[in-house]
Amino acid sequence: MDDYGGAFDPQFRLEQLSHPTLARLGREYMLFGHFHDRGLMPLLARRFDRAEMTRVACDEWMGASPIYNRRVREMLGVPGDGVSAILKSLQLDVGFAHRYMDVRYQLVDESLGYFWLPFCGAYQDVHTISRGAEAAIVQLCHHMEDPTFDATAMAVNPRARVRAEHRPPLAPDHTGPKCHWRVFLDPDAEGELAPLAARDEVAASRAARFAFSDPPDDGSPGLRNYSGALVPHFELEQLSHAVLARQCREFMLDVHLLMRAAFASIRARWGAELARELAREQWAAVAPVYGQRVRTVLGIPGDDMAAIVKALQVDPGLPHEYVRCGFAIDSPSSGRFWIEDCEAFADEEADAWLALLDDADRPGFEPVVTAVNPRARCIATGKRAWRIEIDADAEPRAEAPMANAVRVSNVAAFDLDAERDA
Amino acid sequence: MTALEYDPFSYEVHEDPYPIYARLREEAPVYHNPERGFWAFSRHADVLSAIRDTERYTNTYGVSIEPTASHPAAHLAMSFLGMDPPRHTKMRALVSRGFTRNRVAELEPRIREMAIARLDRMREQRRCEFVAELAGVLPMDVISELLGVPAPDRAELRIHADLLVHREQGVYDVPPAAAEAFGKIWRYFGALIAARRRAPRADLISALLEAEVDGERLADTDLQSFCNLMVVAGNETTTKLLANALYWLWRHPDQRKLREEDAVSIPCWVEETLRYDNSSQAIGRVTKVPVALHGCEIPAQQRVLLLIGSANRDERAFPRPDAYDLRRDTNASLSFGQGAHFCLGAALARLEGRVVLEEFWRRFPRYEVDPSGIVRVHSVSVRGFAALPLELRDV
Repeated sequence: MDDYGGAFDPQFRLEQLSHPTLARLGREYMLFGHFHDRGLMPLLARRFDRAEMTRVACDEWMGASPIYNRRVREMLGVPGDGVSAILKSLQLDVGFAHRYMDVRYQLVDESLGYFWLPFCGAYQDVHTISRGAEAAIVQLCHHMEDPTFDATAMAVNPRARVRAEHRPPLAPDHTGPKCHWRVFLDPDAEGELAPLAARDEVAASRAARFAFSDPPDDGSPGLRNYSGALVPHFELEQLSHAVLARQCREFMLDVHLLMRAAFASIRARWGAELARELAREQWAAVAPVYGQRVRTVLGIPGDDMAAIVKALQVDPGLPHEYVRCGFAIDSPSSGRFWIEDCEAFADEEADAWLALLDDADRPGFEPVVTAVNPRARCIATGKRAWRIEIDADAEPRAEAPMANAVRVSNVAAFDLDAERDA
Repeated sequence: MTALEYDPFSYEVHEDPYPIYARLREEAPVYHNPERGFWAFSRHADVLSAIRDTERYTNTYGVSIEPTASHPAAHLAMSFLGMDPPRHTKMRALVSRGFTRNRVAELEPRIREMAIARLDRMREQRRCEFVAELAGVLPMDVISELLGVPAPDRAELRIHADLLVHREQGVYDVPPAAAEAFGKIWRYFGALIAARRRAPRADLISALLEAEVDGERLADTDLQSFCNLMVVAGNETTTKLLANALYWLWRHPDQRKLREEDAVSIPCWVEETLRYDNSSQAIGRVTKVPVALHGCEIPAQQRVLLLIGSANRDERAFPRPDAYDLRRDTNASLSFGQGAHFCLGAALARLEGRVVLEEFWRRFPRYEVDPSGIVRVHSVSVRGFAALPLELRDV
């Protein structure tokens, strides 16, 4: 189906969507990672300062990207530990959300390659918000990228390094790519990835080891694995349908791994209570903004109970299989939502991202619900089970104040469909 | 050594332009042909810098070297491709509002259906003439689908579209039949646009009628020009891409083996075919000011031919440029141009290439070309086959 505007289907699966729609949705799910940073980082900058914010951001990406890049290579059968494997990982990295980050790749041989960005959404965002302040740009393009790019490459090969050929700050008359990076194997390079507590925690999590069910051979054409040569203009559409559906779930899980690393870092610095608090504030800030985008792609109109329940079904925070959810509509004003025993809430996963939101009094998913209809409420009815009610007379729930910080970022209304200079 | 003469109208050049391109790059990177009245750039770096340069070169005389097609009203036939900034910027932005990546991507299932229908017919015959039965018809059907041309009108429109681009040997200008076909296409879309203005549908023409940038909208003639551009630029080039891909893979058993082993994917096949033997071999510009290059002085108001086909084989830009290598890095390929005039239909061409080759390969990985029946198309700027007979064996 081209959209999910029809009747509510309790068994809805991503595979039911048409290939073009699923690919569009996949790009939204990739963008979800950037959304979460736009929610979390201002909270940290406000409470602490930009230096602390950058430290957490580095922990987040250095903690999770080596893990999810290994996952994607295993899932898609990417062979070897050379530069082609690194570039393929980057092509499927949620940090390089397709089109928001317009990345081009060049493989010279298995010990040398390049990537460059004719357009960079993250750079544009920082540049706009900071009004071109050099300190903010250096923070992103140097302090964050230097360690995180290396961490990604070294996860494939301990001797791999990523070095800038050029990058911002840029001269006012600069034309051409915003940045250009060299990926290479250095035979003299030493060592392994430096130890990082956040990465250890991610690596030890069940999420890191969670295996989505293998995509069936659905007879659809397209790539079923990525064992062949690097595809120069890689796009999600090129994957076979079943593999694309699994990849969409993987993008969602990657964000769980990122959040796991970010909150591990926060917990280690400022304690568990603050981590829980920030996790809630962050979700409340981003849910009103990304939710609308996802519903638009899927053609989910209105604010009735069907729209609310469908929004939960396709929420990128709830990857099918890893999170086992149930949904029901009982009347136009009443529905139900529950989460069964599953990996995301396994007993030993007390620090998993969703577990941070798991609170009977203040259900973590309520922001998703009120984003569709501000007069809707989640009422806990049991262990991870909620009744959703729309009360036409209720006072509309005010949006979280920090949602504005997300709205002013360019991710909020970024047009993934727009033509940009080649 | 023979005197260096490059004549883009020559049949010999159409048969194999690459030896003469190599000589041009070495001996005359700024080549001048006073008889036909054009200059030609053949090196990658020179083609790249000129193709991006809207300051010193203009598109307002169109991109063809045929005298009749080369005039200041070229934008009527080719919309923004016949304009310079800022007019180009505005027109392209308006068209981009409707001709979006999502709209193109959404065509995938429909393109697949159309390709499968034609391929399944071929399977019964075990032989086919690939251009007549698929490559030559599908791209125009896709454009019709996209623009919203009703099915009953498509066959006739296709006849006019073929006449528009067809060239006989010894003809160095737009032939009368092509000019007549242009008139028919122009009037056809005029009527279709008027109908969509009265009753919009879910097609591209209706979307473009709604498109607005800074309070400006497309006039009917703007839209007619754009529809004509789609027919000229989006049709024949894609036809050639499809047949070129099958031909060159057949000619290179080592590469074919890689494909059979799934060591290279279909998008890589598409990209290297575009680099190795691009459908669009040359694109024209006119100098606005005198241009000095490699010791030559080109006066203002001179036609310059940018030889994309040569640039893509320049050893300065590609290692082993004459090897058809599906695993190579094709980033430097100029197949879709660069800069402000980068092909608006690149995503559509890639999509059609991928989908048709996916479905073809699923059915006929053991296809063979019948070399006795091959006919090359003779065109100043487009390279490919008029006929490519295939023997189709089942998987």
